[in-house]
Amino acid sequence: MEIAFNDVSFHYKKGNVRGEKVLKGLNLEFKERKCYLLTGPCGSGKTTLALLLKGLLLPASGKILLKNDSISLSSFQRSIGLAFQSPEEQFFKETVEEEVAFGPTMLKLNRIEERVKGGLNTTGLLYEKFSRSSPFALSSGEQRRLAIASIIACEPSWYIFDEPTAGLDLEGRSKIIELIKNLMKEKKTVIIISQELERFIDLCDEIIVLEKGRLKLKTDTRTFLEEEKLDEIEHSLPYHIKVLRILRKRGWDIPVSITNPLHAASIIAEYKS
Amino acid sequence: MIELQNVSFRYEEKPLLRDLSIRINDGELVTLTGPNGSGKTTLALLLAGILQPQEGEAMIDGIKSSKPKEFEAKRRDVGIVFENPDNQFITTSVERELAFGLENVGIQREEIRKRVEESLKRFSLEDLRFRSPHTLSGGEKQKVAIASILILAPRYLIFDEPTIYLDPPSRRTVLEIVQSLKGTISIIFISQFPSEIIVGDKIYFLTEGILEGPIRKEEILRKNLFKIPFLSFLHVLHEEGIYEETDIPEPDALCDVIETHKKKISYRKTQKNNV
Ligand SMILES: Nc1ncnc2c1ncn2[C@@H]1O[C@H](COP(=O)(O)OP(=O)(O)OP(=O)(O)O)[C@@H](O)[C@H]1O
Ligand SMILES: Nc1ncnc2c1ncn2[C@@H]1O[C@H](COP(=O)(O)OP(=O)(O)OP(=O)(O)O)[C@@H](O)[C@H]1O
Ligand SMILES: [Mg+2]
Ligand SMILES: [Mg+2]
Repeated sequence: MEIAFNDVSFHYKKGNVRGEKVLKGLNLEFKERKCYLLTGPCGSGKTTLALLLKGLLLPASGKILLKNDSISLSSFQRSIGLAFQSPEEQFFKETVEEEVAFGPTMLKLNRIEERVKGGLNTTGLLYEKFSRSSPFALSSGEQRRLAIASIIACEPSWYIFDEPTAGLDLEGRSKIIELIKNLMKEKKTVIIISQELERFIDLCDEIIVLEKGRLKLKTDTRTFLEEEKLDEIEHSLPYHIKVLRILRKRGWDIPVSITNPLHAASIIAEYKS
Repeated sequence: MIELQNVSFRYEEKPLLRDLSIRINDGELVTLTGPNGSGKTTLALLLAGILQPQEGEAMIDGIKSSKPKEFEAKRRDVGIVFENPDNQFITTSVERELAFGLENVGIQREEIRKRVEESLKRFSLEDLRFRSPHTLSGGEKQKVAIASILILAPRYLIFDEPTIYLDPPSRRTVLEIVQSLKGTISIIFISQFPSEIIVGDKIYFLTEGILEGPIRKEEILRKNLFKIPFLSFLHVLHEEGIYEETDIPEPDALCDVIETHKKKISYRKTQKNNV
């Protein structure tokens, strides 16, 4: 299965007097069972792309195509689990428990209670403490965990996480990393939107960079890091990779696509010029 | 000076903060971190006088929150950048959002225009000036939220995780601005980002309603309290005797240190070989 953007452009109608395009002639595809990291400056169109993928927005021109004939585009899009960038936009139930139960119930899935507890547990929101709380009276990190839990409870095959670690504490971040690792083991497809390259670079197969609504880059992680013309997004790279890149520019014969900081440090320690 | 004195606070029945005291002196930059749900935002809202403690006092320049009239006037000296920018926006365009607070305190139109232009430029918001704040992207909203408070130049500034959606360059800009204000106004900056936490003159940690600190920056770095990947990287270099300082150097500067170290080693080797 594969979903492809074919010369897709988009502009918002409401509140956009000049009708400026926020996505411009995008060509890219997402393949089953891969993990993608989508990044790029504020306002570059990441969230808009997610909403188009999920079918909540429609392209102004161009096409979104599904390369599979057993299911229609719209029912495929409906099955994608999207955790919103602002969690509270996703909530509408009175309690945490009802919020998580809602998706699986609508999908007529079984073992609802188990799913609710499982979802909350995965994101580290204590069922005993929060099941009866209002989603709107949670702290922002708790809200993010709830938003993600509600998606997990539905067990879709495709996931889009829009800024899944924003505002999360240390424990929350490791929970998310663990979650994504597990989803990959289960052969799911995951698209992560994040500014925190460092956090996800280890996990993802491909990196997609948007800039001002255009596709700036789409490569596998290794090629991405070896890329010399990366200079413009140098500042988003993990600290240790910046160091490796500078040393290589100064003539060191070392690889730079080292995602593990400890490994990078030992390469430097052992290097003999 | 802005402070909480022996404050206890609960939402409904659940007690959250117990007998908590914190003081931010004039010109001080205080950073605050801690787990989700530990009460950081609540603490910020209490300091800003937006929530009232059930026990204890919030105080601004020695004026207690239990004296509503005088306290109300003092509260205007406190600017807070909310965790959720949508809760902060009151106008229908970015430009007006920036001008709003200044108009309210009766600043002259020419002066307002000047400051608004400066502010738009500083945060690269020029292209968005006519847009409604509510239709912006997450990061764009945060920039407007920060800009519209900074423009008021309040004496006390509270930032509640203001950069979570910002790209690295914008995050850096905010950090530079905050650091440039050090010494002039009092700032409390709440964050989960190590690079932001360590800029505090004083660093506090809130866990389950208990405030710990101030914690020294060196201690945070040495023990790698936040399990920061780049700190584990530096730690290895430290153990190998390549990098001796406790500070976090710019990558370029670190490379200089690394190269100097390697040269020393190869020099020593050739010396040995000669002997
Ligand atoms: N209006 C409310 N009613 C009831 N409980 C609340 C309300 N607001 C917050 N809480 C609870 O109080 C606790 C502290 O919330 P607060 O927002 O201060 O935490 P925080 O440290 O800022 O967390 P985060 O890192 O997630 O932003 C949380 O467990 C939250 O669920
Ligand atoms: N409802 C809307 N009306 C008009 N313009 C909009 C609307 N929503 C978003 N935009 C604009 O579209 C562009 C892309 O927004 P989008 O939210 O997709 O960016 P993003 O890459 O997700 O940014 P961030 O990292 O800040 O979340 C931005 O310039 C934004 O201002
Ligand atoms: Mg976004
Ligand atoms: Mg908070």
